[in-house]
Amino acid sequence: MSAHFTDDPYKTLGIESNATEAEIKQAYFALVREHPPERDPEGFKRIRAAYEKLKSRGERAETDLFRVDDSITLDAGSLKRFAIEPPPVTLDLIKTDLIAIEIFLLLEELKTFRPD
Amino acid sequence: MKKKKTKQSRPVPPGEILRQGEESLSAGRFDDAVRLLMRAESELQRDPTQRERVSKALARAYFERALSIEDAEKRIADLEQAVKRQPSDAGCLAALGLCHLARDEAKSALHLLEKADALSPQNRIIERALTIGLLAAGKTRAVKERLDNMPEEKLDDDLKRLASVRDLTVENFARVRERLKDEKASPASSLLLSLARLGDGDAQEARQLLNAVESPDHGPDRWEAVWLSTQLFYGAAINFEAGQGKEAYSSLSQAESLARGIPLPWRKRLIAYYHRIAEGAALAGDTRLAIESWRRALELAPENKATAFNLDAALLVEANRAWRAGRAQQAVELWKECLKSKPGNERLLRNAAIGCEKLGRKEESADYWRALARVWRQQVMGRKADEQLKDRLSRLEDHLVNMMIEAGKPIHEILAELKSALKLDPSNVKLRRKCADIFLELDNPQQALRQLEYIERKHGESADLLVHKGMALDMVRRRGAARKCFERAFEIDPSNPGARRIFLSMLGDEAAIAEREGDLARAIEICERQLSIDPEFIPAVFHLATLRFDCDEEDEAKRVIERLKAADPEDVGKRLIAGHIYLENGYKKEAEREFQKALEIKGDPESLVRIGEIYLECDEEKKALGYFKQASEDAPISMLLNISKILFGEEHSREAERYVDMAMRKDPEHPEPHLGKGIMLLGRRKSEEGEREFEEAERLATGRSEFAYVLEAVNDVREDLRRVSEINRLLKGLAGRLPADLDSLPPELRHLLGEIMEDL
Repeated sequence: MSAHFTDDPYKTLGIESNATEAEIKQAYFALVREHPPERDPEGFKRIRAAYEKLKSRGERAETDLFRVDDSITLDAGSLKRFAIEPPPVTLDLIKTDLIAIEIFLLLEELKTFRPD
Repeated sequence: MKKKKTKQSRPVPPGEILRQGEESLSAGRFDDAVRLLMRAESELQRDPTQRERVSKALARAYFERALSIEDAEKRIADLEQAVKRQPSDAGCLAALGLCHLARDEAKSALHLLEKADALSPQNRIIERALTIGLLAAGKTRAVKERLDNMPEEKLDDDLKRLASVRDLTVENFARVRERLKDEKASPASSLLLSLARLGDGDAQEARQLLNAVESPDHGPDRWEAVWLSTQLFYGAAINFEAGQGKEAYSSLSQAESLARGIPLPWRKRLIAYYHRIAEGAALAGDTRLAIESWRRALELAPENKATAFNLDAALLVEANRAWRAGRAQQAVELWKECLKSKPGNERLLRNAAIGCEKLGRKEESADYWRALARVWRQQVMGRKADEQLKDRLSRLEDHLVNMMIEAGKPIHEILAELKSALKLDPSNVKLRRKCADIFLELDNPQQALRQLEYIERKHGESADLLVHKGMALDMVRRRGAARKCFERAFEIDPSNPGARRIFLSMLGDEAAIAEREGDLARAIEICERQLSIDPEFIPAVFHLATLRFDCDEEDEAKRVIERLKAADPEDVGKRLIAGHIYLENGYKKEAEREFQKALEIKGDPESLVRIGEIYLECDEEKKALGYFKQASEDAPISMLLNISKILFGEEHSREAERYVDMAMRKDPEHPEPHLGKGIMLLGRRKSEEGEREFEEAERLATGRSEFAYVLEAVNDVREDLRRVSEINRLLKGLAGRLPADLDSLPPELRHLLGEIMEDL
């Protein structure tokens, strides 16, 4: 497997994929303060590795190229609404349906109709 | 000029047309029946004896055809034709009346149904048709009277059902319950009871009843399916109104499946329900339900863009969710589904490419990266100033080419990709280098040189570049220029491994030439130079020591050997090399001393085999066999086969066979010894016995994936035998008349020889 597919650096630093350079740096320093190497060497390693992937334009471009774009969401604004509402269940509707069904059944039976 | 007589077809007699029409009608070919009978009708209109027969048959044909089609307009048109010819046919009248009823034309319908009833008052179907006509026209009192006045024995289940339908429409729900409570449960009665509850205002109870669908054990027939599916549909509708989208979907999809092929009235409303359920599910975060529901909606209306759009969005969300949860396979399948409707979508292509790569599906991944590269190239051509896009494209191209190579894509495809990339970005050094490498691999040094020289002109020389250029020049036999490149590469960067290796190898060639020419002093000088660059360069150590021995400078030779060992006296490999050098030059005692020392350091079977091999190379067969024998004690099969291969390679086939036999005895179930034995028997022209061994190897290897290589090897050997046999046959055909040059050989022979040369 390619070396590209490891932890998502954006997620590791807790930032959005459209974060600015300043935001990336800020997030990195904040996390390093929380996870200093002497107290949390593994955590620090991960944070550092994430930062390395984003700190320069080139590294970030490389990271972004091989990162799945999972930003899409579903909300009322992004959906296309279907124009037709299902009609409420009313007695009239039931009656129409039942009559239509009876008509269908009769026409099926008429296929075998022979006059008296 | 004489006119050519055309053969005129004899006219078919009208009686025959009529007969054919009737035959088509009996066979169910209604279109043919109508066509033929219309013709018969027109041709027989003056024949009173046949007119009635034709009219009846044609009416029947129209009638049958009408009932076999779904299109309401065509149905009515056909039935009108039927009624026109048989105005007293109750069935035609009733059918036409029902069709009008289906289009809400109650007045016209009733008129026809009453006529039908008058013509056939005892007929149950007509009776029902009229009853339903009255009901549809709102004449509920008339319906009640008819049914109340009907003798008990005439009131069959269908009419009772109609009575319940009538009661439902006048909101007499209690009566429905009363009538149906003592009746045998049926899908229809179950539905009507539930609807009566609903009408009563007891939505909860109605819901329960509607959802309690009991399918018969035998599987529903068409009539049962009508009622069961309608019950499911109404259950779904009530669930939907109660905000239970998931339950509603489940019932709806069951209803739809049950009613497949049955034109029930509520089918038109399915799509609206599917949409609303999907929308609700999507907004509530239940993407899976949303996807299922939109999929169903799309099946019902494939051209609906809103459905397709929403489904794609849901698939993407679900794919992303799957990806984040580590379910890469699922994510990839969903992205691929989206790509069907949006094959050029960048995001999807990239995601699919990354996903496939993660799953190890390199070929598939390469295809998606390629598609993305094509999309970006188009964009770059359109907007040349966008450096970010160019940069992304360049990275993509680099990755793509690597991917294509790893996936084993055909070379011409890789080159095509490189060419497209370089067209857009001629300054891309990485890609040019890859191009050059591929051309070298394809034995096309001229093209490789073009690329390398371009890079050199634009970016100057580097050790790596010069090494490759030297290799290309060597391939076109420009040895002097090649040498200069290797030298310069080494000068620029002595630590570059490629430059170092090639330069040392080149010096070795020069030393060999000097030796051949008798200039031993120069040869020694060159070897010393090699060792000054790399004191552990074994070919130079070997060569220099040998040269010193040849010059009777024994002490010097031994000093060279000692220098090699001095760096690491406990290095087994170096001891063995030292022993080899001594043996090669006739110093057997010294050689044996080195070998014994090596065995003291590491006396394993590998070392013993290596020593045996060295003795064999130096034509000391007895000694070699002694060491092999030692190594074979308790050796694994792989070791025994290795010894066998070494002996066979040095043309000691009899001894080689002994070790193969040993391997077979050690593990009778291992296929490889049989492969080896087969090859050895072929060598002794015992092809039948050899083939038997191959068959045994195949039998033992089949179904065992760890021995797939054995099966491959057997196939390769057989293929080689086939070629040889074919070559022999073709050569015999030439009967001693071998042409002077290869081009004059028969094409098949040339082709076979070419194949063999390629393999070699």
